[in-house]
Amino acid sequence: MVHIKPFTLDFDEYRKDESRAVGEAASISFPTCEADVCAVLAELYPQRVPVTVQGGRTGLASGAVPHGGHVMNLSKMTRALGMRAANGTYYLQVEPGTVLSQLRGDLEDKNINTAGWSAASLAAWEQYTHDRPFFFPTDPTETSATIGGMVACNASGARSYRYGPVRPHVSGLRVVLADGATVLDLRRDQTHSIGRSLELLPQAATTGGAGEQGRQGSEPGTAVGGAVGGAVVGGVGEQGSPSHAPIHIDLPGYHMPATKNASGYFAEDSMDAIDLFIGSDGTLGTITLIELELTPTPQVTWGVSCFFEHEEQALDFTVRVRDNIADASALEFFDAGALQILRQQKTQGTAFAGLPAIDPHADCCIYVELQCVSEDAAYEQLYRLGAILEDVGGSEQATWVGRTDIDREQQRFFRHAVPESTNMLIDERKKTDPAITKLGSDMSVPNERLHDVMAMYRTTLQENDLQTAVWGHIGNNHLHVNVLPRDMRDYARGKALYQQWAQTVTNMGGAVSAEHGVGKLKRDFLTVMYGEDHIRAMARTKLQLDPHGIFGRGNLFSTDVLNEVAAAMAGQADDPHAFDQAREA
Amino acid sequence: MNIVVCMKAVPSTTEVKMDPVTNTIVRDGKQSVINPFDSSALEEAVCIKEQLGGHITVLSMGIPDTVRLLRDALARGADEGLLLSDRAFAGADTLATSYALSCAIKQLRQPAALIVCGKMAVDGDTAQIGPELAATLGIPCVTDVCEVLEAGEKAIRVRRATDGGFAIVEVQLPAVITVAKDIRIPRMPSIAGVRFGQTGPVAVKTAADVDADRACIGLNGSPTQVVRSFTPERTDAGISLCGTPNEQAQALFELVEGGLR
Repeated sequence: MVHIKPFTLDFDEYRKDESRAVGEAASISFPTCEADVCAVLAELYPQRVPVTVQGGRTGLASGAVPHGGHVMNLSKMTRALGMRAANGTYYLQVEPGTVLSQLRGDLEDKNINTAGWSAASLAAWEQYTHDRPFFFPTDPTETSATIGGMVACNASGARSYRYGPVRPHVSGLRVVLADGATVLDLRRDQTHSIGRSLELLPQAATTGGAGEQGRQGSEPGTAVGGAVGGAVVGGVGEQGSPSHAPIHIDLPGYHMPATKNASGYFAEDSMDAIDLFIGSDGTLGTITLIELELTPTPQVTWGVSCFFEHEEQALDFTVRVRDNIADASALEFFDAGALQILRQQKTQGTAFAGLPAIDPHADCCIYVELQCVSEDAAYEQLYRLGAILEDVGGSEQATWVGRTDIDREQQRFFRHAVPESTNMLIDERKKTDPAITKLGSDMSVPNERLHDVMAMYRTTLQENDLQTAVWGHIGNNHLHVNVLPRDMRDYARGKALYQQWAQTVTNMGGAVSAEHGVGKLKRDFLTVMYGEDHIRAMARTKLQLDPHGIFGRGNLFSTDVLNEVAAAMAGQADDPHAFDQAREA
Repeated sequence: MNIVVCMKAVPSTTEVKMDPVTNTIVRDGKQSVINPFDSSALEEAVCIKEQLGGHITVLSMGIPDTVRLLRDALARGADEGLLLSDRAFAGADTLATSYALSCAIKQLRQPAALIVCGKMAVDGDTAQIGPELAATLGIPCVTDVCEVLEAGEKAIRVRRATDGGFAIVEVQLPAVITVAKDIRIPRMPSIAGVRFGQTGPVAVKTAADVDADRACIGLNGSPTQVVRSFTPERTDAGISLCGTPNEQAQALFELVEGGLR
């Protein structure tokens, strides 16, 4: 039986995540299976204890930072529960605590612990081991991220240029609702909204004896009362009849930007029910199983780092590459500020001494990853890339082509050294003023606004005399503008700028959070993007699934907003027990 | 300056397959890469060429697939590739290999002023090719060079690592130097380099093409006989310390203390 432990000093690290924000909690648990999750929630529910669900705590928006109550850390739910083969590909079911690096390695080595799998899963696995290689393409920088966390914030990465965020690769989810007694078994293409109205058919969670099975890690198809894995494989309709009343949900009425977006709930007409939960920032339920659709591994992967003397050339290059290079899987940008910090760190410290030398004339760089079906195709795309480069005023000479593992590793080192070296710079400044911290933006705009958004960044940064390093996913017009404050005045000016940018980016049809999620840190930006009415509509959606506002307190909405909406739903505004009343409403 | 860089294809993983009959490495070309020390040697040669001008020939002995690696070397700054590939070379030890390489070097149109080798190869770890090549050619050799201080048309001044520190050596050309891996960070090829790598000159020659004496090449010319090769078996089992943190710490202390006694 899983224990709910008091939140003693031993668990201090679970108060924070990579955003470096720190929260508070009264208790903590580490479930090892869905039955554990149900048991913990069922125990906490009568007291309406808020629950913050955690994975690898690698998020940058404080989504996993507790806001009082209980921390449910899923890092011990790491099993692969089954596999199915269909449509020429494979679907792997994993628990939410599965770490990305582990999953990648297991898929590549075709070495997964299949203990307890059903006969059907074992047959699919056997087929997989003899098939060509497959992979899971979502590639956030932090490979210690968990799959559950990635789904919760709809994570992306460099390759989202070609493969999109994690969303299209998720084909099934199991979600335990706040009472611990209700489970949603969601499979893509099975349940859609009618307009903005969605009806979900929950199942009864099975705990107790079935939970024992789950903990023993035996048959995934029968673990947790025959629901885990089997339900995802078979689908809701095939696994017995729902034992709870349908849940009716009114989806928010906003129109999402036509750009890379991880800002608030996914909502559109006739949407797939599963998409509401992907990117919901841990506010609707606890994900206990994820089914991932695997992608065939490309035969050839080459990296090409292209250096430019002027930023304008890099922007023109991006537009041309988008139109002409079909096999590009990533387009990543590094500006003059980023290269300058790298040059300094290379000469000053030992950590980056092994970096390849950067041409002193280079002002900025774009890394293009090519993924092709053959070497011949890769050469054709490479030379086409070279021609575009020369057309926009660059040079084929000023490039690095990574065709071998060693070269690709050098390029990876270079790309990862950029954020690391800026962090080192900030750490150095913290010695003078511990309050100083890096400010990083996560906004995206539609393709046609790339030049405009860059002009906006440059003009406003120059006006404010701020040191910055800009890098990120230029292929998706999604740049992380990092302000590197020299003092707290710089910090304040940077924060004000971000608010200003959120408005301008929204006006351009963009998103205030493109990949990190909103969490607690970008709540205000979300209000700028959608307006207060839509935020309330979002809160209403949440409360229809989580009537007492148990999950993810502080994420997406402030407690005040949630309270206000709950009270309105209960018809009793300003009632301190509004969450409790809302359920009956 | 005319420079020859010697280059070896090595397995890219540590899972080396051995031929159970000949006790030599099975080289099927799959996953083979340029020996990392030789990549550094090429980078040093390219830097010298950028300073003095000249011509770089990359030279290797191996299976036909090694042409792929020589073309990669062209992409990284070499001007020309030469591969010795012939069944008669198979099974060569370092003596037979250095003899074969020397035959090819003697036949170059422009005599080599400087021969740059990696200090050793990561598969064999012998570090013998450079010195043996110099001996066969009758020219001086400086091993384990970690920095080229000055390169000229007639002589080269280098820093080499010694057991006690460093030695600065000036040597008349022609000469052989063998270089440490960290002498330079090898550059990545540019797109223009890759284009040249695909089309640039790479010749493949047999033992007869380079007038090699058949008694001195391959297994015939190899006095080294490998009697047996094997993967050492793990003999010590791990110990798992259980109990409370204090008990584990105590058990570890006793273990270390016992080992030191």
